[in-house]
Amino acid sequence: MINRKYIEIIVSIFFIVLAALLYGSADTVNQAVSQASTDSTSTYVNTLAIILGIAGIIELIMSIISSPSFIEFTKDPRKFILLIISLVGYVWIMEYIGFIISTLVFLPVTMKIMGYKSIVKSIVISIGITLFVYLLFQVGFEILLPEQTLFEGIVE
Amino acid sequence: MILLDALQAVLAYDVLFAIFIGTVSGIVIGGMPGLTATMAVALLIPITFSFTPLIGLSIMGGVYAGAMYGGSIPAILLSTPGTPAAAATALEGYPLTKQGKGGMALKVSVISSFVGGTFSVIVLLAIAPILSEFALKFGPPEYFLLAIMGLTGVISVASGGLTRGIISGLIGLIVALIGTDPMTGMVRYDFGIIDLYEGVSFMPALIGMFSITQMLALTGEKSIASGDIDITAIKREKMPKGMWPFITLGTGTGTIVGIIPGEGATIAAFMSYNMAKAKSKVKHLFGKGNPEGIAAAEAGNNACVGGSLVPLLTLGVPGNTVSAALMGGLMIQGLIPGPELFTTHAVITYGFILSLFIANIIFLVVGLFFAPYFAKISQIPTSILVAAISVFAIVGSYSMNNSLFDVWLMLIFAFAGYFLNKLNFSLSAIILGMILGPIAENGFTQALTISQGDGSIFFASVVAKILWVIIIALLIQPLFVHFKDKRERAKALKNE
Repeated sequence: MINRKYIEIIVSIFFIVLAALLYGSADTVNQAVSQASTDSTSTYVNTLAIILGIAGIIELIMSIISSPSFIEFTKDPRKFILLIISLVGYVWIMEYIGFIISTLVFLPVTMKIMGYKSIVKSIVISIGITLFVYLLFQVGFEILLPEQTLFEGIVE
Repeated sequence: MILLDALQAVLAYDVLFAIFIGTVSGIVIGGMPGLTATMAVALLIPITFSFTPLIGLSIMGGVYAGAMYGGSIPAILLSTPGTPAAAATALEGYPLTKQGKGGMALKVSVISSFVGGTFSVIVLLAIAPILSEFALKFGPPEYFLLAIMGLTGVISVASGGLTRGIISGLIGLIVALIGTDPMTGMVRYDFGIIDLYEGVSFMPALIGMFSITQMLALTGEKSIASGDIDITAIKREKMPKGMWPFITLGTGTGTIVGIIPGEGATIAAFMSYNMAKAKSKVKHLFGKGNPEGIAAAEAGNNACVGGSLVPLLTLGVPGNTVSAALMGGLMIQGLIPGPELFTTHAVITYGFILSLFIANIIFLVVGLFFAPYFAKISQIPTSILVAAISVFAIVGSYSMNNSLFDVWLMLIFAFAGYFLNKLNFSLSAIILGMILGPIAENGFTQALTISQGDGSIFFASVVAKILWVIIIALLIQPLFVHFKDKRERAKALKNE
């Protein structure tokens, strides 16, 4: 449980700062090109920045005067964080060890994180899903999925 | 003649097979609480872009129609709506199941869904070509206002209120600024990242915000649908008498609500349900198992399907997130929504519309004979679902451009989207802002260049004036509702 009020104040300030940065950037972008085009683009960016700034200020005021309340980001913080780590790790290792091995690792690990108990069943399901996705994309649609690059030059 | 060509194209065995697969997949996905039609269409786009346009679009259309109906099955049998639009159905459907009348509730649901869905497609077929010709008269100011109107529609129904809705829409419009300036050709806001020269592709954002965010939300849920289903106890029953006025009511309401940008199937279902309640002669039965409520709600949410495609196909303005995802599917196939769809690509477009009729027939047949079995699928453990859908989301994001950068982008949008959603910002408005951003910017900058900086060009034509009236009405509506609620709450407190 986190105090919603403080989070909302921080987020509102973020939007106000973003609006200010956007407004400041509008005139510097595209300086090298024709005046008419730059002016209309700058006006568009400035309009977005002004509306965002005003909305951010309204949100900030509303957050300050609001009564304190709590926000529950997830029912199970442990599973939530582990799933995020698992997703990030999966994408990161896919670049090095390729789609097949990374998916065969990711699926049972994620199932375990999410509370699936039978290890044997989770391995069988993982092999099935990996094969299905591989056949569908790589063989069926001829979309090249990431291949392992970690042992390139060592293993032919 | 074009219609006949389109019909011939749709009746090809591979297209029919695609519609069947799409519709059945839609029923399965719609029947799984936590999975939405938007997510399904978004995940399908990477798969369908290697098909011919008609096959790809027929699968996505089938998924949309099937999912809208599929949500009612677990709502009736397990009191767990498969989609938010089926929540009203659960109010009447589950009490009927407890009374041993689950079979009758399922029949009312599938027939009402079929009628609602079919009628809305007839309306789409009749209105869309006329509206698309009208769109030919639009110039840059009108296109800018059209994009703003589409965005305002979603903002006006954002659950977090008007300001947060506006900020959400602006986030989308600002993200759409990244990449090459359409007027000058200069690269801007790219942070020195080469992959951003072409801008932020909205598909990874769509997949991230509507797939992975839902998977993150499912952490902590053991099984999405609780309860047990005894299929043998569900008897085949006749359609009760007196349902047609309620089906008609839901059909009309859903079609109109679907056409209005921003208003979605959930609003259509609840509006139809409440209207049915007001009209019913047996009001006291509502909440205790009244099939009239199911008839109105299901006809209402399915009628949104055809309605929501009217602004998408004719004006290029997606009315809700599913049609936004469908717009992605159209663009991937090189089909730009607007008048050209009904001229240059008429056979594909009419073929797609006709495929929706077939999708409705397929879910009618499947629903009448196999509905209870689909409810069993909704009981797949969350652990398997989360892992499998994460793989599909990641591979889907990668396969669009064979780029791991897109996958990282998808994860960033997923995590940021989850956080913003928890703070009641609207993910639908963000994604629509991203889609409509280039249309809005092009319209705005071109109009100002034509008028040499004179802003009155945005008020010059009759169409522009009408669009302004709609935009203002859409913005005033939530404020009006807010103050009305406040007054009623104060009145209730005073009475206490």
